[in-house]
Amino acid sequence: MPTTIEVGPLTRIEGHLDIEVTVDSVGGQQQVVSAKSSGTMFRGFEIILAGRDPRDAPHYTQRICGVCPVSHGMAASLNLDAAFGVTPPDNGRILRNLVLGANFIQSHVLHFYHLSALDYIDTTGLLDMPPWTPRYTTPDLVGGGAAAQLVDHYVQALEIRRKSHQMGAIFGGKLPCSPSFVPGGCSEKVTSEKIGDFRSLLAGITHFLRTIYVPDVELLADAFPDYLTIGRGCGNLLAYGVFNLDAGGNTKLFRRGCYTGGRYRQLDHERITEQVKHSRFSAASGNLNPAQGVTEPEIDKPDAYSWVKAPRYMSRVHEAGPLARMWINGDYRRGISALDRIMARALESVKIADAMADWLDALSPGDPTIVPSEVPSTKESMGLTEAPRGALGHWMDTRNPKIHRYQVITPTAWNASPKDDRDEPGPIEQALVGTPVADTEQPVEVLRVVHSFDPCLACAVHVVRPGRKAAKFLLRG
Amino acid sequence: MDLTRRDFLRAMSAVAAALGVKGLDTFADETPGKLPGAAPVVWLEGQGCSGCSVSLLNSIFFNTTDDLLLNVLDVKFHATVMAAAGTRAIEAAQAAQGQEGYVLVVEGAVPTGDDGRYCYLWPGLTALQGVLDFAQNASTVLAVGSCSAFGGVAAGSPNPTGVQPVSEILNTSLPDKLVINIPGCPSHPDWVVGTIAHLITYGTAPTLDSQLRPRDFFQNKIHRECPNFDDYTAGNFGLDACLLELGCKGRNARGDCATRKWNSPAKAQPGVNWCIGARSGCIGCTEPGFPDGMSPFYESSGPAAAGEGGGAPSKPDAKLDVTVSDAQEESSATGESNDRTDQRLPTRTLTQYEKRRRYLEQRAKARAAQQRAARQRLEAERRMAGPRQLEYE
Repeated sequence: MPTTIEVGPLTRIEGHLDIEVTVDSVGGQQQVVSAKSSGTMFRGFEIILAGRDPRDAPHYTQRICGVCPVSHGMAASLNLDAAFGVTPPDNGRILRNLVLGANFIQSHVLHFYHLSALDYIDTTGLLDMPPWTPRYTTPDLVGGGAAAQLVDHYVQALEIRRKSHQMGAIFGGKLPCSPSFVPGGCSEKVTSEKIGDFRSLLAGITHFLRTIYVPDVELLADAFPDYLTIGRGCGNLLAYGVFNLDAGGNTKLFRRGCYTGGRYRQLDHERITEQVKHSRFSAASGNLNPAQGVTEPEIDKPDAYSWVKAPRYMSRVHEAGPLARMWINGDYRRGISALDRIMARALESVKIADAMADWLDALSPGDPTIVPSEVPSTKESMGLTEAPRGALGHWMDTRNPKIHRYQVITPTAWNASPKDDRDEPGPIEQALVGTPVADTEQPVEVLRVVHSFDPCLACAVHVVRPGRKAAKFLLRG
Repeated sequence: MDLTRRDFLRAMSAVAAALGVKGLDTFADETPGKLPGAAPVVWLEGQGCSGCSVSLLNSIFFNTTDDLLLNVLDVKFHATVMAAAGTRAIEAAQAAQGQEGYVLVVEGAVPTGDDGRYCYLWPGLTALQGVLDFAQNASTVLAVGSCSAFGGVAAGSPNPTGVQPVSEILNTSLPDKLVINIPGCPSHPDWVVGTIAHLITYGTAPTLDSQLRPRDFFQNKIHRECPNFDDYTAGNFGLDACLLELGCKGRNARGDCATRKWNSPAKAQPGVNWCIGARSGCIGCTEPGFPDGMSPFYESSGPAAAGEGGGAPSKPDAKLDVTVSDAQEESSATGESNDRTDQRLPTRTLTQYEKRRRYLEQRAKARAAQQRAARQRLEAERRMAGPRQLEYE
């Protein structure tokens, strides 16, 4: 007899997400047979951006998300580089990478310890007060010494993520929301003192990543081996690539590509579309590439259950994230599952931290970090990069010279998307199918799978709107 | 990790010292778990980006985050960090709601368009209704971040979802509810922690300005304590001097970023950097006019555009512009269009600032002249009236 459970609010994510799962007995085990992922908040960033000065884009778009603002700063400034026809000097390119890397590390540490770990450990006797109570008390939670260790590391991790932001602010100005991402480079300067301060913070953080973070993930993998198969999902992966290692962006720390139907391919960004059959936007606006994106919100559209659109590549469902990056780059190919995502995220943190030490060596104190640029009167441009949660793209159409169209597709739009035009569920919806649920009052298994994607819903929901007057489409119904 | 009562009191003393108050001895017991007096907090998030929560996690100047979560705050509900999800989390919020006296924190904008359906806290409860419901039993409402305080980026023109500031939303049904605005995009952790510490310690709000912001942190313009001020008065503009011509809105925004800075490395230490320190102008994120009134962020207001020749104020007492009243400065923050046809992209040239500064100088001189004349008249009357009149002075 199928039962439907609504898990809303789905906590320990960024933003507003409701997950509805239908569970039924399959082969004698109660498990998820279908799932719906619903983004329940909408702001309309692209509406707000229309008509503004393009140079303001890095500031505005960073407010899409306070956990991954720097990624938006990077995407927007890459977008502006393309629009303005400039290439940052090496110093500027490296500074952007360093600030972005610092935020990646902050985000991943936050995700594992403060957003995910509580799904796996019994904190009774360790954290017996709000916000850690009320809590789930399923018998499979790990207790004893392992729980005590993870709680201790949870507290240490608060300091580590704070230090990661402190480190990033050395070149980023402040975090969250760095003001130093500008077209043509990074506004901050390079000095030996700043390099030294950054380097010493990086050393301590890297030590934590290697000796505490990664081993803690291995501890969970030993304690929860089922989750190395649970939560697979669609099995298709996509990455735009990130951390340009040369001026043209031809070499990146993580390469661009996709893994579709078991094959590795080049990524053609023109084959990205956003479908809206089950999303609260007008039918006329569906199935378009972001460069031509036309969208109108429809708050009462029948069959729609989410404010998240359904990005698809070659009309197929794809997952984005650290696992996708590490897989496509050849750095991790153990498997695709909830714990594989968590492990890939940890290993990626170490890879980025190690690379950052090298990037510091390549900085030249005193050399320019920015080249001058001018706003073009008309230009189409895009900036493709990665947020901690996966592939992130900004597309812009400049006219007159104001922002005529600005579209953002975030990784969580890919991952938390609802069904598309062919009723094919999104990655999280697919990953939940087959997940056992022992106690429908305490669906901790659902949390484990959803959290493995590190959802960020503020990112996922925002609308594309080309130069039409806002009043026409604003509030229907 | 163990935090003793002594550690906590030391931390609270640091708070008190930083707020300029002396004498702190309000906690008699030493108990495990939350220390008595830990402030119960219900933290609701509207159309936010969680940036203010992430920023709060960077707290260290007053209290570290673990100190806040373990000892100082009793966080009954916060969707980003709490253990429970779904109905169990909703029940925790509702249980907290039943006990009067908690601090309600609202982060993120609250949309009112379409019955508030552009943002749900959980199934069936919009952010709008949630804020109205939870404010009832709250002792204080903190609107953390520019979005909840003033509308912020989500309210940027054309305000697609009908965002309203929390103080306005509550004004109709709960006009006497204490609302404190702690703006910023994001807000600085010290502004939030310092305000909460004041509430816990004294049971009352700190002194607030006309925008309901704590004066401790929002008294002065950024411009007033900016290290580039001498460049400003000397007319040195550029990436390595005063950022006015690169769009800096430091003259329009209140906050202590110039001294407190951002991302502090240790207790009672200023931050490692800040926006202007990174050679990026202030975008005025603490003001009600943010972002529309501060945009374009990089629009130059320097002399190069006007051709008026040498627009920089030559007098060292150019600081006059920071003594202008709140009301006047607030209106300057919203900006006005000059020769641009697009009303959404206001600019102000340096000559306009200069003109206004001279106007204010003239007004001050005129006032002083009037006062002098009045004093002379009075003295003349007294002389004529004779010495007997002295007893009335």
